[in-house]
Amino acid sequence: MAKVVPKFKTFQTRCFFLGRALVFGRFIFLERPKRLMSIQSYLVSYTCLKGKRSKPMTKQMRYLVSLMIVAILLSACQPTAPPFECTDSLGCVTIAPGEPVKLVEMTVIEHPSEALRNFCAEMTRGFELAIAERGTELLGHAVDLQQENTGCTGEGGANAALRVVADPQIVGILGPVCSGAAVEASPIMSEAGLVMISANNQAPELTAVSGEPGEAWQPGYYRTIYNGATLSEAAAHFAFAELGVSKVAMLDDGTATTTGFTDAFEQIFTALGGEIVLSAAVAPGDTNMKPVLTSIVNAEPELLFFSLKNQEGVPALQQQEDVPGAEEIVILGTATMFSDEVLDVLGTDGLGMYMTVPTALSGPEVDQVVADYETTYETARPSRDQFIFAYDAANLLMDAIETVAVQAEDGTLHIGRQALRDALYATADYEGASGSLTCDQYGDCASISFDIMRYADPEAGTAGMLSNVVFTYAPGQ
Amino acid sequence: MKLFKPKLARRWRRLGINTKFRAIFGLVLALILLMAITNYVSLALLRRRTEREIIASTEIQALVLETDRGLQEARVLQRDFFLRYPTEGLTAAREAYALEAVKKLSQVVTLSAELQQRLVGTEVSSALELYEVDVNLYLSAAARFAETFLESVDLVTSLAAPETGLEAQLQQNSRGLHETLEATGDRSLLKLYNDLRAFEREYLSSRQRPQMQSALNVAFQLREAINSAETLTAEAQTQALSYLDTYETLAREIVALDAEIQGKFNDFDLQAQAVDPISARLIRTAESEVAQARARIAQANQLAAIILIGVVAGAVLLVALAIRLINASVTRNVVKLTAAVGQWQAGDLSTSVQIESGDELGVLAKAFNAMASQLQDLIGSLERRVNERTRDLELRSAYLEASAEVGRAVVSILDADKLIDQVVDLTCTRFGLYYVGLFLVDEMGEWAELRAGTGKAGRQMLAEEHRLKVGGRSMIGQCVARGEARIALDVGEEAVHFDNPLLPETRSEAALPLRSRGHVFGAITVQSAQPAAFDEDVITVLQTMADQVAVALDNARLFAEFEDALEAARRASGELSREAWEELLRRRRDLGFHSDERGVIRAEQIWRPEMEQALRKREIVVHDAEEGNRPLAVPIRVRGEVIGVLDTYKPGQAGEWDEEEIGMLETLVEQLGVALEGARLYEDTQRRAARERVVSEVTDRMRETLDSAAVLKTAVEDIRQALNVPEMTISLVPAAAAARPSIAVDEDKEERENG
Repeated sequence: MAKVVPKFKTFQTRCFFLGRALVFGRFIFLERPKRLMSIQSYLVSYTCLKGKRSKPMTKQMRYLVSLMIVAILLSACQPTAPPFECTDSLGCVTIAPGEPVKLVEMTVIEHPSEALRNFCAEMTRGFELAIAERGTELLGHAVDLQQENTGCTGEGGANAALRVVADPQIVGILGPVCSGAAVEASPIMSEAGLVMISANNQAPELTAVSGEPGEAWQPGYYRTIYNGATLSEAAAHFAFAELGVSKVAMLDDGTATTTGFTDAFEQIFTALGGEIVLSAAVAPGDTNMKPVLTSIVNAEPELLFFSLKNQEGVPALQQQEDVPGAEEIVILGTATMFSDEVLDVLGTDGLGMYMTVPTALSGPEVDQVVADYETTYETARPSRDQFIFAYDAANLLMDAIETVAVQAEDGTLHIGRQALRDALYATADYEGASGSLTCDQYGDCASISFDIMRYADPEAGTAGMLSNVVFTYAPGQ
Repeated sequence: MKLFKPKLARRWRRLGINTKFRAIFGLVLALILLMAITNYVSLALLRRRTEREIIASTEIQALVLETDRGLQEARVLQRDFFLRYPTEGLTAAREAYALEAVKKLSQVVTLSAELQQRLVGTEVSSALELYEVDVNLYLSAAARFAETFLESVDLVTSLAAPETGLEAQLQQNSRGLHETLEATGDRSLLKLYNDLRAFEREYLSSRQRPQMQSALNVAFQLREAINSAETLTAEAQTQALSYLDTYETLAREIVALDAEIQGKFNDFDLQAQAVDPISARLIRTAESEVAQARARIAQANQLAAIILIGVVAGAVLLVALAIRLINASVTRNVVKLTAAVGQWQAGDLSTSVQIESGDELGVLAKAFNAMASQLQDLIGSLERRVNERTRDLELRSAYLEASAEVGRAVVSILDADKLIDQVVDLTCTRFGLYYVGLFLVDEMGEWAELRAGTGKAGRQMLAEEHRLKVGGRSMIGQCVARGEARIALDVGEEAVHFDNPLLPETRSEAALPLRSRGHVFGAITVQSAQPAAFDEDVITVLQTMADQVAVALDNARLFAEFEDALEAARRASGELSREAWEELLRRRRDLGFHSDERGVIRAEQIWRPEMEQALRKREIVVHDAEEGNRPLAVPIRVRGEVIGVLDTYKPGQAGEWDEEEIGMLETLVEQLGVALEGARLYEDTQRRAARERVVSEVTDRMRETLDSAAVLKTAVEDIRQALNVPEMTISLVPAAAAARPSIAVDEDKEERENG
């Protein structure tokens, strides 16, 4: 005759409920429930339940379950992990579970120049591609890329930096686009312990010139684009060695980038034995370029180192014919005006000018990024490669975060700000899409060669110029 | 406590279940009330916290307003400074506006820091806490504004300071150049100078760099003109070129300073763009928070009242519902159970409890019902058995009574045929049987012949002279042959199929032997329309009855035989009596008397017709004529023999003879017969006594002697005298011939006695 076993008195039932009690007990009483322990508790419950539903437990199974229960009870007695203590000299960013990793892109959202806005959008896409490649997640946290508008001005950069540092959860800054904004923003950023990686700041003073820290250098600033001094170095060498000119006039717009170029050019050109006969400047937004062109003509240079951006550079080239003698001057420009949009506007104006442009990036990594770019945004590859530098900048920052972040059991991230800086400074032979990146002590990470190309065919645009390289300069060679 | 607990427990145990439930629900109600109070307290705390939030929000709002007002004032002062320093002078403007602006900015920074601290305070709502970043920005923007403003003041000072400022230096340097050129009197140089100053003034008014660039271009031309001018002395030329160099430097510095100052202005604008929305948002949020907090307080108050009322009402309803539920599901059932137990205890064993519940009470009720049912069944079974036994006893008693009745009836009946008919009828009636038949064995002992049967079937079978072979397969045959009762039932394993078409309803049959003095002379068949109607007890009773019947039949038979013998004796006695009366009447022919008004006289031997009719018919004869006398003749009987007739009449006017009169006459005549017989017997007895006396005397005398001859002599003499006969002879004979004379004497005597 079958023996009736009262409910709740079988071993399986007791065991099952004990397992469930352990699960709830852990969640209720433990500050941070250990996932493994919870799994074990569930395992006990499941094993017991399976035993209860199917057939009586074997003796071995009973021993196993009992052993697991004892192990869980013992583990429950163990002290929980101590709370994270930040020892970073600059403090830590703590990102709670479910909270995103906040990154900020300093860019130009509102600006009269459509070309500049488009250019900024290209770089934004480079950042986005890098983030998207990781599934928009970093160590289990979503990556939140916020944007701050600098207006491509110093004061804009400063105010954008103020807005960034106001949020203590911001981990790092990508950008800014304009060096002037970076010059004003980087001290604020640096003081707040942040890091800033630009994909377009070329002003030498932001990092170093000839091995010396630039005036605007701030700890925590990095760039994946070339140092403008290198561009100036290439231009100076071309002017002096290839063109054989010795008298050069320089024109900039007074901003950090352009003055950085001219300052570096002057430094190198004069070192090469050349002479700077004029260092003229226009103000951003100026449209009347005749006075300054006149002063340049008056200086009688053999070559004008044309360090202007689109907004001022285009009218300057267009007004060249209005100033007698101006057209006779050889113009050697920088990469700031190297775009099809500018060339379309210029047409025949500026024909014959030279531009110092970083050698077009190529290789399978570049092809992959370009392909992703074209697929994602359904547009052709931009004429300038800053989106690739942006792609590298974002990857560099996120890799560094992954390297230094301390992740708690519940997924909380602790990111030491100084540790992040150190990790970025320690970047060496980083295989970026733009090439191998090695960051020096001042934050220069790129090693780019430059091509000097001549603007000879307005119809061909930048492609025509790329096929019209007259000089190539590789740093250190 | 230890003493209290058992006491309390005892008191608790003594409480009724209703009281217990009341106590429990009282506690539940108290708990709910406690919850309501807790809710109320919580809401009060919430209200207090909300009020603190209101205060904090209000303070933050005031702080923001004060900060914003300070910032706006600083901006106004900053604007006034830049607007007024050219007219009021840099020193005055700086003191009047810049220093005030800096003070205001300092206050703003302090207030911003305080605001920042307030926002991280515990009393601040979560909505305001979200503005931590904005306030950080506000604070840093305010600080930067102050810094930028100070830098811009410095720049302006560098640019516009009297005597030391770049513009002042430029003016001073221009004046020196102008004086130098004017001293030459070279109009072309002065023209260039004037052009230069014109571009310079245009620049100073428009602050457009190309104007200054144009001035510098003119300065380049002026430089070339100076270099080529012959009107200038070498000293003047050097002086002029020096002024020109200084001019170009100052101009470039002024342009740079202006650009920088413009950058500061842009910075101010950007800061305003960043900060203004923050302060507006903070104020709006603080106002909103205050409004929301006030709304929350009002809501909390309203909610508290509603909750309090709701909780109390809900609690009361819930408790009422719970009480109702408990009452419906527990108390009522318990009461039902208690009542049922009470009824059960009072003896109503049919009591059951109807509790449709699966709880313990339901189980208890089921158990109670089962127990009551079992007990009721048990008692019912006992009662049934008692009733059955009682019925059996009653049946048996009835059977015995019927048997006794039949016995009494049959005992009183001496006529066998009548007895048989009575037996079957009584048995069938009294025992409630379907059919009863009685068989008697014929004289040869081979057949049992049906002598009586009830109902139509009985009559038909009697008409058909139904008989059964003794020892045959029939129950009667077997019963008679074996001398024991036979039972056939149509139920059970040995069911018998009854196939007598005349008795289609027979379901049970028993054959009872009729035994008397060890001899079976017949049998009774009893048949019932009920199945299994006969058991051992019934058979025993019926057999007893049958035995009585048998005895009765035997008695009837014996009685008949006795009656026959008696009748024969009676007939013999009546004959003797009649002969004696005939002898008497021969001796006394006048024996008859007539009575009338004259008295009693010897009756004339006149036999009227009614007398002859009564004598002939041996019964009373009444002539009821309508007119005349109504004669009545009653025969006088003695031992069944009519020895005379009493004749009388009633006059016609006296009416007819009624039954009473006739009965009385009959009785009187019967007594008359008895009296006459007695008188006759008395006379006869007297005569016999006389004879016996004579015999005795003769015998005594004969025995007085032992001599045979004397005896003979005495005997012959005495006997002759006794008989009063004239002569008598006694002769003795030898032994061989003694038989014949004796016989001759006996035959003579018999012939003499028989008449």
